[in-house]
Amino acid sequence: MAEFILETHGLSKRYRRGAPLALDGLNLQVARGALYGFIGPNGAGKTTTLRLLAGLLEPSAGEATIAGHSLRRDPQAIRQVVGYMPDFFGVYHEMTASEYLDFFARCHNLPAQRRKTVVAELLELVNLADKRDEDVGHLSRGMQQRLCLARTLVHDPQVLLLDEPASGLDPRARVEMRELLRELSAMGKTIILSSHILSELAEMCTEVGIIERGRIVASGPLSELRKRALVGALLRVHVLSDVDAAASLLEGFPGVSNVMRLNGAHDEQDAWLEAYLAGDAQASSQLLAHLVEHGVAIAEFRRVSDSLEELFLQLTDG
Amino acid sequence: MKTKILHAIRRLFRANPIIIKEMRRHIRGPRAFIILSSYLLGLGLLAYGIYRLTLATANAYYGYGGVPPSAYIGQTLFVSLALLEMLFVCLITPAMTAGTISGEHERRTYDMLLSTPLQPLSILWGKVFASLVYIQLLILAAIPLSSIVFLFGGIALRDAIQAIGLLALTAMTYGVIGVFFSALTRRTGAATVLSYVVISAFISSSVLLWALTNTMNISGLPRQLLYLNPISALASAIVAPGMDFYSMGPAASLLILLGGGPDILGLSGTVSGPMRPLWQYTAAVYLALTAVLYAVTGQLIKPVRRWRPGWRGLLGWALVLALVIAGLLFIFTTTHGSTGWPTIPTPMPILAPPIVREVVVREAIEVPVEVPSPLPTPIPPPPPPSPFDAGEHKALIQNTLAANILLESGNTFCDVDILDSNSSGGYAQVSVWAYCRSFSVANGHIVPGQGISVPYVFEMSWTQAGEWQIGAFWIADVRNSLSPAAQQRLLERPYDEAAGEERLLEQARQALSGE
Repeated sequence: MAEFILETHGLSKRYRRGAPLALDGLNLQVARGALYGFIGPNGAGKTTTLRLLAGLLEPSAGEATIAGHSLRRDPQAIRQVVGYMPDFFGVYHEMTASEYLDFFARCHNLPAQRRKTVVAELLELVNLADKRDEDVGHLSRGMQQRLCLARTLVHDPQVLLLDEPASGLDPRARVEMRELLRELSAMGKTIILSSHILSELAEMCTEVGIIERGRIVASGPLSELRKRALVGALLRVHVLSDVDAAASLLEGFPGVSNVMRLNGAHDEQDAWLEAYLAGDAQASSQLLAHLVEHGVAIAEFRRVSDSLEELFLQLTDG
Repeated sequence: MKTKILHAIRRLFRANPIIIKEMRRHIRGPRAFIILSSYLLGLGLLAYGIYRLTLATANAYYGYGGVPPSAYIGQTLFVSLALLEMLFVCLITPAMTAGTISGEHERRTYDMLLSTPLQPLSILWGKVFASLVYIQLLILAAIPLSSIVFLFGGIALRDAIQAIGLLALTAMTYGVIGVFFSALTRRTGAATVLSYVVISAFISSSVLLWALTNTMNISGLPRQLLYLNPISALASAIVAPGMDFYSMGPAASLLILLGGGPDILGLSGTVSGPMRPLWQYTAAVYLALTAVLYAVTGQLIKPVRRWRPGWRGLLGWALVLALVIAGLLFIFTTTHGSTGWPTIPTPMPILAPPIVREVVVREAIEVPVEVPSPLPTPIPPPPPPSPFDAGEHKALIQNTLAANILLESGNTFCDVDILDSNSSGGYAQVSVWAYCRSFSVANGHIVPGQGISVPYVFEMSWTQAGEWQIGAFWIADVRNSLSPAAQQRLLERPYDEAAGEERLLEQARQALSGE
């Protein structure tokens, strides 16, 4: 069993008396070295969770431990092991990139000599070594984001809490950010990030938690979630024989509904059929076997609803 | 335990990163330079303007053509500069501090700060300290400029120190007010407006009080209303109580009017007995206000439990407040009845003891070489020779006369015949007949020119150098200057002009033949 570096037990937050719970009894376990992605629509409670874990908010109920430190009893120790990057990170103007990092290194009580090497190393890591004397306000958004990420690393934390690290970045900067996060993960950091754009970062997560209205609706490795989500799937079949017969065969199979012809062509020997199958991968293979048994010529048999968006919609709508 | 204490000590001495960052922000770039330069330049120009104005308006106090005493100029300058600096502090402090906490919120850097191990109180301390250092820098930078008032005199050093102390205290209190609103509203604009509203209320309290007393005839309003007014405090600190403040000139009058009037400030001498100066109350109230606001702000900037301080926090702040109040109470009760600082009695002047120079007597030393005495002993003039022989001085008389008589042109020569002489002691009078003529040279011939023939009297005296010299001479009035015997001889045997002409020609031939 993997060692959990972060655990929450019934973590809840209510901002105002009478307001709905922004976070409703979160139970979470994140293994050391994991790359955990919080995925959910805006206002689902992602930022609240990360701010709670960073010690910037007081939980209304529940408890969390990070690297063995209690969030409620020892918030100061939590700050030493956690690096937090807010969703709308700020930059100080009238400060150079190296001064910016030096300032936060000072905030973390790093001794002078170590500060110097850490600043140089971090600028190298986030690929900003040539911008060290540039005014932070003059850097591009992607560079600022990377600098901010470097800022969370000055005290070499075990856990990184990154709130929407890819938001507002152009595709190139997003790719760079992804590379950087992979590198950090390889360095052994536990990374917890939130995103409302699934495909961007979720692909690289070892585990994702899907959150909606303050509750985790699904959690686990992405492959497992996919498996679970395939209870229902949209199928596309390219038929090269009697199309009407194939359609009736499909409709007759248990669990299949909404059979329809695509591309509207009236070619009786070549058409695409689409159908919804309420069943897992096992069921779809049985369906394929059933069709082939009855002499249907099949050129292609494909599951369409494989994307994360579809998965996400299924999980959050239900 | 030991390492914990060591750690705490090290943290105390480690520079607060916020202070470093904020000071960099204040000093970096042209802004700090421009603010400091224009502030000093403006203050200097204003001081010069006030100086000229003081001279120009001194007529009103010292009559037409009156020159004000130096002390009057010094006091006017001092009061004006102190008032200007106080207004400057009131103006700039909220602008400097109202954005300190809210700016972090607006730049969205506050969460990043709080997610570091930096304590909220360290953040607050760093912010307050850095802003105050900058404002105190401005106050300190004005001190060399302000010290020109000491050239004019009329200012006690105590007054100057009180003024600077009040400025520094006001800057601190208003800085904390600005930071408090910044933390409370989390919006720079609102914090700035609120700070200015509060400070304006402080400043205008005296005007309000004065208006109520003097125009609406409401009397008996408490002096305590002025405790928060920095202008009143300044007036009470630098204008001596009981002083005829109108004689201090227009600046002091303005300051006192802005501060609420002489009666309420206790400056008019109408209050019987010594009255504690207002500024001491102001200082106490400001210190307490600063402590309270600092504590509340420290609570406000915490990320969690903003309105519910823990019992440890409450206890700590209660302790600090109790200490402040106890300290103030102690000072106020122990110095009860005094009007200011403890005074040191001026010692009576004592006469300086006469300086006794000890004379060292030495043995006489044989000096092989003769050392000239540094001061030559004056040689007393030898007694004049007796009897006086006028004939010895004939050449001197002739030459003196020839050099001093202005005739037409050419070289003048004189021939004198001594008629009479008498002397007594070092004084002699010689009567002569003088025959003088000018000669010039033309074509190798000596040509005689204009000439005169008159009696002269010469006065002579025996000099220090041991010879007779001519003191004065004049054409003789024959009837008075010559003795009767000489008059008789002159009548009997007048000067032979023809022979004199011969002798003159001989003189001229000898003198001019070389040419």
